[in-house]
Amino acid sequence: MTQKKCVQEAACASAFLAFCLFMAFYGIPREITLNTLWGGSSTGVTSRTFPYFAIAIMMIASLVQLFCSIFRYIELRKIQEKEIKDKIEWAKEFRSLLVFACCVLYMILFETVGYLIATLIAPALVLLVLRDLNWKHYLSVYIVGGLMYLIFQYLLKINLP
Amino acid sequence: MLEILLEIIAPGNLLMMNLGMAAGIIIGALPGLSVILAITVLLPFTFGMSSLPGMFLLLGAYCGATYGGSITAILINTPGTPNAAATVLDGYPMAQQGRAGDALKAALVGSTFGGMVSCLALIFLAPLLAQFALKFGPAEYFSLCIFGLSVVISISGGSIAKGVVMAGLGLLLSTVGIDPLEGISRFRFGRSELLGGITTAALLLGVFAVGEILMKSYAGEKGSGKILEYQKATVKIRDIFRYWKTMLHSSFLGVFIGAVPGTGGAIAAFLSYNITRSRSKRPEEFGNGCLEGVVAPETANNAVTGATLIPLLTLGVPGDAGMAVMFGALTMQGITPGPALFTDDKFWVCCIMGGLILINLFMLLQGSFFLRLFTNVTRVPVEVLIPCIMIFCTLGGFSVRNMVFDIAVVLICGFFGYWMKRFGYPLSPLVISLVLGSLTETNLRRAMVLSKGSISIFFAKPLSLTFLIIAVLILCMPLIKRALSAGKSSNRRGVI
Repeated sequence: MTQKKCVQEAACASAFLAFCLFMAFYGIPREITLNTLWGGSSTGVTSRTFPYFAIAIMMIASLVQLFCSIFRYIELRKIQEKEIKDKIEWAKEFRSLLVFACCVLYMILFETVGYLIATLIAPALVLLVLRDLNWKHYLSVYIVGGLMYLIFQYLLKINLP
Repeated sequence: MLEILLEIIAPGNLLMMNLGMAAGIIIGALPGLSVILAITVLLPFTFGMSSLPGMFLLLGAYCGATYGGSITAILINTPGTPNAAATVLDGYPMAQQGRAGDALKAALVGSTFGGMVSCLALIFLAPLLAQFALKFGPAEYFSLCIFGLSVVISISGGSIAKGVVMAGLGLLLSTVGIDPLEGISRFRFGRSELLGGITTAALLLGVFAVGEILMKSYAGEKGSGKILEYQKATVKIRDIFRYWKTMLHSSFLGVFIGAVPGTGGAIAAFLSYNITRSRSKRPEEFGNGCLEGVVAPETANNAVTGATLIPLLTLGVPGDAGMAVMFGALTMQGITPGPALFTDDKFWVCCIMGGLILINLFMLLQGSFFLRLFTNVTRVPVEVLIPCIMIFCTLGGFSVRNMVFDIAVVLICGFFGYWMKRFGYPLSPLVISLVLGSLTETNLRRAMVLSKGSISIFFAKPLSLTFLIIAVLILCMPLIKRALSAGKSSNRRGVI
């Protein structure tokens, strides 16, 4: 484990902790109204009980994770004086984000212009993002898209937009 | 009995078994695509079907994908699924020696044998366990769910704390929508679409399918790797059955491991491989292209398939993420897995058990006749797979409830799953706790109302207490191991 990884883990644990605190003090009280008519409420068991239970589990585990990563970071700093910074591979990060953006675009087009036109545009964009210019690959994807349309629309009777 | 048989062999059911099997083998044979992905991708197709053909489609895919992983393991030296990781050890050397056909045939026969034994185990053990589980009260059920979750967390790899965070998040997500006891809405955030909660199918498609395409895009995998040529098998089935002892003990091992929640085919395959090698008179042959080295792991990993259905059908507890998909499919069909299934829906359960035997027989037939065709699947490049999976996910997300909102849920879950995977958070506890959330909550609240708000009820019942103690032990195991090893090393230092 590297110092950078420890910082990353601590950041993740802190984010989860913040989420738990938000849910415990704002999310649950605001989004779950108490039903006093239900028999269980006299025993203190309400519809908020289980969400609080789940939050408590998450909070304890996040705290353990946070302390572990802080201790590990301190230990590593004693051993390794200065860590060589790893390069962030921006091209890789960017590629996966672009593919995700294509998925979002596909969803938007799916709703606005319909499945068939959306399938003509978005999968082709994914192939372009992956720097694939082989026409056979484009054709294969369109065949799969067409087959899926036939299966969902006519066999499974799901009305696609 | 005759009625069950007629239902199983209905043309529609037979077709679904074979389609699921073929799709499963194809997806399993694609490098890097898991068994879970195979059944997740097929899940949306079951929404428009009745429960039996839908389940047969998914079971066919489950068994097929478990076997299909061995094709890439043997031909490309890359296991198609983690279950086939042990098959690489002897399968690929066999292919290098020009015996790819023999290795594939051994994998097929072993897989079929293992699958059949596991069906028999399901038929004989499941009703007994269901009978026992009928005696469970809310406290026992809650503790059983916690036990199931703890096993999944401990096995899913990485840090236990991360697994617990994911399980907690899954439990929290399961509370979105209508409260199962009081009927009031929770975490709606003003959106009527959230009244029905976050569907298991959307979460599964997101974390396993969208997450997978983002991971593949990040890794920048291209092409389909170096593929060895397929040569026709020269080995006969009776030659493979020379290793009947290996097949038998691997099957029993697979059944045992599969019945324990949270384990899986990969563990069974490696354990079986190691046991077979240590028992062999010629252990030096293992790793150099030994037929027995392919038979053992393949028999064990397919013996897991029927056995994993035991906790799902009898207790309503999915043992792994694959079974969580099955659970999702069943609940969408209005079937609630659990002990009551064996009394209320006995006919359905018998059909599933009988169908599983047929599925394994179809695997042998499809594998024997279309093996050459399936091996060509390994040539599909990753660049084509990514947009195809994107299409499946979008259509799958939409078909959950015919709403574009669910596609958004799929994408959000996928993006979240991708980052969590990058940060080393396991995804199986998230999915399984979402599936188990409602059962866990209902039983927790019922038990606490019975005990007038006291948690003592979970410790007063012996079975519930046992489940909880085992769960705590499982979660604390890494700490116990660390303490023991620290003790040993300090003792050694003391001696020196």
